[in-house]
Amino acid sequence: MKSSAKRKKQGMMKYYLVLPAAILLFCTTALPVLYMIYTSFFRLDPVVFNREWPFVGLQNYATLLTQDPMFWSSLARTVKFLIYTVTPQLAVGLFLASFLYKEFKGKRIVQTTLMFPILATPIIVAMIWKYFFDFDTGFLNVALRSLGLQAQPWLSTKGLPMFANIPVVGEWLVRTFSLSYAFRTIVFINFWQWTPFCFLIFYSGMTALPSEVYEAARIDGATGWQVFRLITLPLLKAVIFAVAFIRIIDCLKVYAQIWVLFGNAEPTRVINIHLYTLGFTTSDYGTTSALGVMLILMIAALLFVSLKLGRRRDA
Amino acid sequence: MIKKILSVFLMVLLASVVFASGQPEAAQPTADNPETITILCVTSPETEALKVAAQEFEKMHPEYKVTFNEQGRLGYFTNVTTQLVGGTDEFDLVQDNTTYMTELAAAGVLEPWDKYLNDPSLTDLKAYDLADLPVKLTYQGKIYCIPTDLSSQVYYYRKDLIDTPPDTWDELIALAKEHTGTPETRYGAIVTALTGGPEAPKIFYTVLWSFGGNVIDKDGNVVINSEATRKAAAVYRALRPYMPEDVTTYNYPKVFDALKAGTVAQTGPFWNAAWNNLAMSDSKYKDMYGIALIPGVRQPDGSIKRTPQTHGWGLVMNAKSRHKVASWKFLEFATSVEGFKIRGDHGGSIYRPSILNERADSGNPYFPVMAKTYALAQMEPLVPYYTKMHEISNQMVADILTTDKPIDDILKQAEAAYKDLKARYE
Repeated sequence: MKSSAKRKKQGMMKYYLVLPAAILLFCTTALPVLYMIYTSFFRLDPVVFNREWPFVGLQNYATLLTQDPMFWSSLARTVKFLIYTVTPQLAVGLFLASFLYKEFKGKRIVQTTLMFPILATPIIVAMIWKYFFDFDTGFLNVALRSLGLQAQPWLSTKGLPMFANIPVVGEWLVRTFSLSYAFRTIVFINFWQWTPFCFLIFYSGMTALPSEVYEAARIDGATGWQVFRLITLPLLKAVIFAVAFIRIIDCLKVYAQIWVLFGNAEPTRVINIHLYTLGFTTSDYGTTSALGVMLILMIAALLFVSLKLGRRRDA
Repeated sequence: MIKKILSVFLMVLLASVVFASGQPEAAQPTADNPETITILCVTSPETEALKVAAQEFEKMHPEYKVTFNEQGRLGYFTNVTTQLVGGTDEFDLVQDNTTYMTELAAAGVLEPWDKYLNDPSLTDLKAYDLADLPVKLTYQGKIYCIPTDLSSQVYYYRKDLIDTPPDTWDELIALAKEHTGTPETRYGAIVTALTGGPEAPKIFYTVLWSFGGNVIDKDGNVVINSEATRKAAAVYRALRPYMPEDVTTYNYPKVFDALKAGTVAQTGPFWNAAWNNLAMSDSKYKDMYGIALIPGVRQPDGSIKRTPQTHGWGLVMNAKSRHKVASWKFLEFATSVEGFKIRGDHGGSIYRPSILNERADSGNPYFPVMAKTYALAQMEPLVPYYTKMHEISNQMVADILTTDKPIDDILKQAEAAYKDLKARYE
């Protein structure tokens, strides 16, 4: 009898141990989310904040979906940012990992140098690039001018001339695909900072791959491309999936770099910048809460799809 | 048991200390025990001038002490709004831009000045000379702020390159064309057009108003899609080839840097604060600049319609302040004739006509130009949805400057967005 009670007590112990962390997590995560859901049903701005909040039901959601042109454009821009940054980061990261997997003189120096961008904080990175890309005094344009080439407005929200100058559809192309200098710049900076991260994880993954398979392929006379396509890539699938997932989540969170470079300018406004603008520039707290709820749902859906895909792959 | 009694006693003691600290000060302030007022302010030349005024105030009123809680410009207005709306009593006075004050007044977080102004024991109205203060921020008939500084827009030009300042926008465009890409200057003109910032719409309104246009008319109708806006947009489009290609990255500091570096022949409309800042700078071009009224639109009778936008920087009183009378004493001093003179001599802007006229013959062209500018200046509509209005205006200005979209399409889009916004607040 006594031992059964003891066992029960021991069984409960794991819950007791988890309880403080669970309470903390509930207070810092779940409660604010619940409060955000609650406030999303009210008109809430500085004018009514200290009075009775008018209940508006789903109007804040409807306003976002039907009356806020920046909502759809910033959401679309977030998706474009994801595609433009994550795809080349994975491709170049994989290429670098494959390239640096081979032994050659100076490999350690190259590997170490590649790590520098990851070590810098995004805000500092953005500020350095801002000076680098300045039209009049930036290093890049100074270099272009000294070579007799035309300086480019890297930080301008103008469309890239190669697209903008296409008759009839130029403006449409620029707007639909965010083909402006400014958007290219933020994509480039993100690419510059986070491609080494992809490389690092892919490289670590490659070092863990069984060497026997490669030896067998070499004996069978497989070419480098065949080894990469038929051995490395399939074996690295799980790692690629994990890196892609981390980068997608990270890109959905992007804020600091864009804010430092362009503030809440419309041509570079992604959904997080729009959230901040709604909440803290225009002080429309109710609509901001609604946007926050929608973002959580979107990220949850993305997680769900990712997990499903992951399970299917494992099966 | 003893432990329990002791812990209850300690809790009571702690609670009494906490609650006691929240009580208003009852004792009369003296020089030995001065009452402290705290001002939340932004780092700026205007704040430095205000600090000098505060030192003088403390000399005159040793029973009061003024402390400054200074913050950077980034996110400052957000911070002001969230703290005031959140009900803080950490500061008594807040430095704010007049264009953001209506929303705060409507929220009930600001203390109106009327009862202090109209109390003879607190204010000598004759000496204060309220009539000499042309700008007062009122909401529902109550005064919430008399600005300490007034920002408006003037025209700056290189005197060694331009003999006579332009009277009209067409003349400004012609000068821009003449001075672009010359050995002396890279750009013929620059307007402040940072996308997403507060400045681009304000500068655009100055051009728009001069053509007789507006965003919302006196009756509250959205009138942005008008011939006047098309003309104002045409001025911007005509200036495009003579301005930096990344002109939508130019805010006040960047335009000011261009003036300092001598890369631009003229800028205007541009903020009056640049005149003093240029004079205090180490730019080798600083003595080459002239200041004049902004250009405008020639009227049938030959006169020029100039409509510089203006907004004030001022101190507002926190409704939760625990030192309201002391705060009022400082507000009264800071906006008095003497307060204006002290601040004006230390980098603040003077807009009391009596002082401007007094100094008109001082040889500094700033004073007569500003006296005329303030007489012409207009404020933006003081509406509670002001910040949201800026969002739409920003988009419109960016589209005019960075795309080749037909102006009509841009205006239709802006009109629809303004109407939606207005409907939401009605």
